[in-house]
Amino acid sequence: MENLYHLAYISKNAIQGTKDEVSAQIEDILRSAHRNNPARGISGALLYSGGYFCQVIEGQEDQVEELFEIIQMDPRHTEVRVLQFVEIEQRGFGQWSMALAGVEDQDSLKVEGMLDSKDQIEMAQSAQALVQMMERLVKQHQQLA
Amino acid sequence: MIEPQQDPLTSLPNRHALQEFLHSQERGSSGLAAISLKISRFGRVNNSFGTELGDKVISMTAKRLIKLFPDAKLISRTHGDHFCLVFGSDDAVDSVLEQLEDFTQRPLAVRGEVIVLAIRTGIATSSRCNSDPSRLLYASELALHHAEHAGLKSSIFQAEMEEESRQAHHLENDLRLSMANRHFDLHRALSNDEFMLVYQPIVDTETGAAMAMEALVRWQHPSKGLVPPSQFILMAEQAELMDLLGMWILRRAILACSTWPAGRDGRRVGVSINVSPVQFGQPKLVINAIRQALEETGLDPSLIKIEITETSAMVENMLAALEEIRLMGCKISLDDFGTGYSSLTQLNRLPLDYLKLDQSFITNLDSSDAAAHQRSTRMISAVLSIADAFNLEPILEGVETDSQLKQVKNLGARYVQGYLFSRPLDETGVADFIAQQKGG
Repeated sequence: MENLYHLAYISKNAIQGTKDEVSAQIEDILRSAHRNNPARGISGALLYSGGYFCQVIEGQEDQVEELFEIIQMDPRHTEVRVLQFVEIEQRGFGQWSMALAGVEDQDSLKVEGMLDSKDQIEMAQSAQALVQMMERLVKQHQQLA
Repeated sequence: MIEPQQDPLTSLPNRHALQEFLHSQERGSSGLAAISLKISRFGRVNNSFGTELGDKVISMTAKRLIKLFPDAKLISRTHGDHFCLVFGSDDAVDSVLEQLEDFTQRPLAVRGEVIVLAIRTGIATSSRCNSDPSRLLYASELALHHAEHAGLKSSIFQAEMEEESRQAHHLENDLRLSMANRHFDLHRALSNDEFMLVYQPIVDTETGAAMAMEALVRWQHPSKGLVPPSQFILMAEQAELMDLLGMWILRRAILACSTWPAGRDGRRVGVSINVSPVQFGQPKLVINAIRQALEETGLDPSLIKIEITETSAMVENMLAALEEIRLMGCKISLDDFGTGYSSLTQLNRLPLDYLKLDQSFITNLDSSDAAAHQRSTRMISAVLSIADAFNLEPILEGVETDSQLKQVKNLGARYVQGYLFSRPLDETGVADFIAQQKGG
């Protein structure tokens, strides 16, 4: 059985520019994920909501750690906050090298609120809710596409 | 033999390679800057998550540094959780520090754990090192050391730091010399010594007489004057001289005790002697020093009270030694209870007779803040109950006022120590104190 891990984080957008420029950068992020992730055995999803990135990455321990290090050092975002980093039995986004859960201008998904979680339990609950929401959004998004 | 040049864990150049690099830089070449960096409290990472994960954190840190600073002339892992970055320009320093600050705000994800690192830095520029690049590593580490001591995140090397460090080094050397001489002197008369013992009475509040005197060591340095124990005990421990100093203290204190007259209650006054946890590295030395002095003086062993402090590391060595000391008839006292490593498990494991409550318990008894006062009273009662439950005789340290004395007596404390009764006394002072109490 592979040593599967799942990491969910929220970060603040640091891309300066118009809405289109931001969208172009997000597309660029997805393109490079689609290019590199299959070889790394990484799957996941990305959501952009009102200035925040939410991303889930899943895969083997070393690969998740290594990718997260690359993501961490990416200047396109700051204030990276890990919501969840746990061992998993099954992938939630196994079909996607990096699914797009959506791009929203407004923080209608209240991502910012999750950052105010008071304690670890609340944080874990927020993370769980976020991941479930992303799964739903990914499915919706795929149906629309 | 060729020295390895690479750190096996991170593949970064090691300390040796860094030094070679700095030596190879032209003297007078201005603009070089070295930043020594230490991961703060890295020991905790190792303790909490294990060394394998700790190693992973070190290699991830190394990779981040390489990525963050492609312009660095050299990045080295100098040892353990220490790195050193060398840059070709003084001007780089500010932006490097900014980037490092940013780096620490990005968490590391390792095996299901999220770790946020804090770092401390020491900076040295060649302009401040007489344009001698070979001194950069030393100077930046000195600055780092300074930052650590001063509780700063970062500090820049200045010539005065070298002087400070040299003085500390001198003091250690002097101590070593003094101890070497003492080694010969031990078997001779002990007069004219630089080390001396002073004694602070532990008073029985029921009789007003001294139950024992706590021996405290002082170092009268020929040129520097009185050096406080807080400076030289740690130094002696680090310089592995504590065994020698400790044996001298034990012997001297027991000899002194044998000369003291009985107190007003007709009882002999005991001596309480601090033994450093370091000395339990060689417990035989401690045991033999006590045994020998007891044989020489014929003193009742129960007058000797060995004061130990709690440390987690030495417990195993301590346990057997303390049991042997107790078998000889001496008493064991646990000092500074309520600070540091205090744990009930240790109370249960260690063979103890006395429990010395740290003076911090007493301080708030005079507080005008009713809540603080109440907390302090509750705390003392609780600890007194603990002592009682473990069948230990409590001793309260730091009693300085009549009101504190009254209160701790009301709470049921029998033995107390503090400036209210006496400051530490020299040997004549001790005899006077005992005689005074006799009359009084």
